[in-house]
Amino acid sequence: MNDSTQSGDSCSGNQAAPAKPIAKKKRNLPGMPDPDAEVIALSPKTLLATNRFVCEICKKGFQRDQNLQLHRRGHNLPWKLRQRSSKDIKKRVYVCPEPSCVHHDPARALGDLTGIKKHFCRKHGEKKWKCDKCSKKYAVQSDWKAHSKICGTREYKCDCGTLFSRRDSFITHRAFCDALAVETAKPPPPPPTPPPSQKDAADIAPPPEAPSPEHSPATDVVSPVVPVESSSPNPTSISVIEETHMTNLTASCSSSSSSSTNGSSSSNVFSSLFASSTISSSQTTGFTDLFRAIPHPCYTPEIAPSSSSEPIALCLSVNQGYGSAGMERRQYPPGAQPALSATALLQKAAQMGAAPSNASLLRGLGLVSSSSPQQQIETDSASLASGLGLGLSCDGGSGLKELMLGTPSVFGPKHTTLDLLGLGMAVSGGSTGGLSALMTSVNGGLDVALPFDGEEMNEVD
Amino acid sequence: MVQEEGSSSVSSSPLQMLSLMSLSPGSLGSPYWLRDMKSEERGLCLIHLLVACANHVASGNMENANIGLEYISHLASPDGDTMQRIAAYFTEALADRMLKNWPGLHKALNSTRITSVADEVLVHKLFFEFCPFLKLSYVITNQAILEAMEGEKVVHIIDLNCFEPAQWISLIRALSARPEGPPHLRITGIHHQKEVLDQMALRLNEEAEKLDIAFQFCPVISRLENLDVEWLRVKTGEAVAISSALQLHSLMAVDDEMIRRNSPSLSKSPNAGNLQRALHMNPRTLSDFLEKEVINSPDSASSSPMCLSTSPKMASFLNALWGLSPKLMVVTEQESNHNGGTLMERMMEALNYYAALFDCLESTVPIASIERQKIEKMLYGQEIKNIIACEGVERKERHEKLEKWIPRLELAGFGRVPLSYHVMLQARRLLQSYNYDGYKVKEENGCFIICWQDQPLFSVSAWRFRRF
Repeated sequence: MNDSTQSGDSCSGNQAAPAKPIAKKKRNLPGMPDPDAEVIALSPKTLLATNRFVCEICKKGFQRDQNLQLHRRGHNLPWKLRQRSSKDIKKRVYVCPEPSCVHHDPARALGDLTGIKKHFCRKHGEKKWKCDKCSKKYAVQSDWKAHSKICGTREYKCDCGTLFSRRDSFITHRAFCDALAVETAKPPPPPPTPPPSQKDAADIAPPPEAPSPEHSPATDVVSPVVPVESSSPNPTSISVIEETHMTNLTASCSSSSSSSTNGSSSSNVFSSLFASSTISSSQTTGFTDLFRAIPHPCYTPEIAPSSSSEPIALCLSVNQGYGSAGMERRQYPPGAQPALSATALLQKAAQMGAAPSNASLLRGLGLVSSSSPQQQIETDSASLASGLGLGLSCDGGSGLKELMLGTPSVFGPKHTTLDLLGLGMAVSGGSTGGLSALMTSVNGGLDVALPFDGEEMNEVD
Repeated sequence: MVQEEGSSSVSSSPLQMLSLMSLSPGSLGSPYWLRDMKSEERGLCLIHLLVACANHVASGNMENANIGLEYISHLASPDGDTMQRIAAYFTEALADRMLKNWPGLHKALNSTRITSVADEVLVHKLFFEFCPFLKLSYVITNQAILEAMEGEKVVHIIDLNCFEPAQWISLIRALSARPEGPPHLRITGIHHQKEVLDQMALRLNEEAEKLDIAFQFCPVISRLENLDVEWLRVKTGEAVAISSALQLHSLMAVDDEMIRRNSPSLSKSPNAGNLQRALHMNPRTLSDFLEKEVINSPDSASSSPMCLSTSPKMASFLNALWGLSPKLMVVTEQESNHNGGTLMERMMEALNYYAALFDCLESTVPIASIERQKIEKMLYGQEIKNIIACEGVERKERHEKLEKWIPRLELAGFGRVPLSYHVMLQARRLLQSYNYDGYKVKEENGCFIICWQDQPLFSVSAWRFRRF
């Protein structure tokens, strides 16, 4: 709005009426004032002044003369609304009076009076308006009003914690949010050793005393495998990676688990076993220590940690390191043999041609005879027969084979083919299966098995 | 040794009575030759009986199967030695399968079963604690994630079965200690029980606060088959890592019957979809793929590779995961083929596999304890039951070997990421630190196989999003 200047030092023109222009005002591009526009420099006082038009009656101030005139109507005072005087409006641009300001230069003049007023207030004025929700201050009242409307109504929150009231800025930020990488000026919690991925090699060397970290809270989480062994403090000649060394370690540890103390003492042993390595106590050994360190509140194991005797007896592959080291067989009653592990049993059964291994069984069951395994079977089952006393069969040894293959027994008295369960696949003997076979075979078996049985019972195996 | 001395005969059939009585002249107990067996003989006997019984069940010969079960019941026991226990669970599974022939009976017997959430949670925790497999899987996963996410500032981890806080706590620690500082970390945990996720959130947030890293835990309460990837809220610009521990196989549960009926020649000829995808593969993988098809036995219809993608659930799930452009996906699965089409196939594989699992559990927990029994009964026993007794959509434990997973994942658009030397170091270090005797981690073409006494049990492989 054009204004008649009182103390202006410019050559401002007459007051033009604030009527709406008939034609739309042409707007210059921002930053590029109309070259042949009139440059007006208003004084700071002018720019800051508000309510310069005062009603003489009630002293009410108005920013615009028009408004004052309309107000005067209410007092029944004579009023006059002035029209826009000149036909063609001279384009006016305004410069900022502050010499250090960018807009002091006419080339950077602002095209709007209100604009220049606001600019002057914001930049060079005192911030008199304060938001009551946050502590932001504003010089221009309209800015303040606009802010307090949206203050506290923010809608978008990035995962890093930044708040946004605008959707577009939120999206932009979110796609490239690396605020946190910058933000965490704090150094990470000091690890005594460097992280695992980089320095594994180094890590291998340091924990020589023990293959892994110890944690006192490990006790309640420790796997029951933990050997009770304390006698081997340095189980690791650490080329720790090697399998053999691993078994060395475990062998020596697990061997004298005869003591098989329960719970508490074992935990002590465990921690002492790995006590020496303080280095590894942190996360460098990555994740292994973690599993022990993390207590499981809802669960407390109560197993006595001791490794089993069975695999020791039967370990097919991993038995190199089992030297002296006090390898006492743990805890089984004298005279009794440790039970074979299930996998060993399966392998044995497979060897005997009974084959709980994929295809051979099917063949064995389905077909009459597979001659190939027979020789092996004979020897095997011969040795087995004595140990087996498997009264299942008509004759001790061949019974197993027959069970699976359904062939007539190779040695021993020939009976109707085994078919204990009426497999019905036997060719010879003609027993087809079902109960009849059951009966016959069993009956047959009775006679023969007895002497065998008598024998085996005395065997110690 | 536990043997039942009581009267063994319950059946009313006179023939049976006779047979049993004839076996044990003068005594009404179990047949004399079933008593006083040394454990080895008994074990072998059990094996044979199991196999024979399964055979009968498979061929529909219920009478004989019943007799078999009767015999086994004298020898097997959930409190006995390893083989006895294994037999107990297998026979239960077989019996369950037989009972399904009378659906009304089966439903009636199972109708009052109470499943306790706390128990389920507990047994999984026990499995984690007493066996090294999950620990190994987690260690391998974490190390692989660490390596893949080097330099990444925003990391988003999706855990397909999030129940063990220890895994992610250790990762949080490791990430916070890396030289370039911790990334902004988000973990999305999927589980079907809210309590588990609540507990998880508590522990993880606590840990992150302690270490003062930017962390967010997003729980998604859902079963895997109902999961919609939209719920995971993956944002552009973040590096995604997916951890799948023993989960993917359940998505292969399909109505086999329907598939077989609808496309009888499916197993013989490739279906169009597969062919198209095959064409998109680069020549090297295509030839591998075809090679594998030839190698795989043509007999088992449903396990032929051309049937790999016929499970629509699996295909769409993998597709959805692929759509997230994961930088890393670590898949841990059981290394055994329990998805054969016939009962006997599955029976044999399962016998060998679970024998090894029972053995290694025994070696870790030798003293008979309630915990071991729980793992055996509620975890292994349930898996066995599912493998043996269930069919179609119900049968969720469709384990398959890595050699079958590889073409499946490659078809879905994933490229293999070889697991590095450092990962192997971590795995071996874990084994040593726990003194797990008898376990081994083998490396095969960049994937890891966790073995017990040279028998492969679990496979861990790493994948990444690959553009065709």
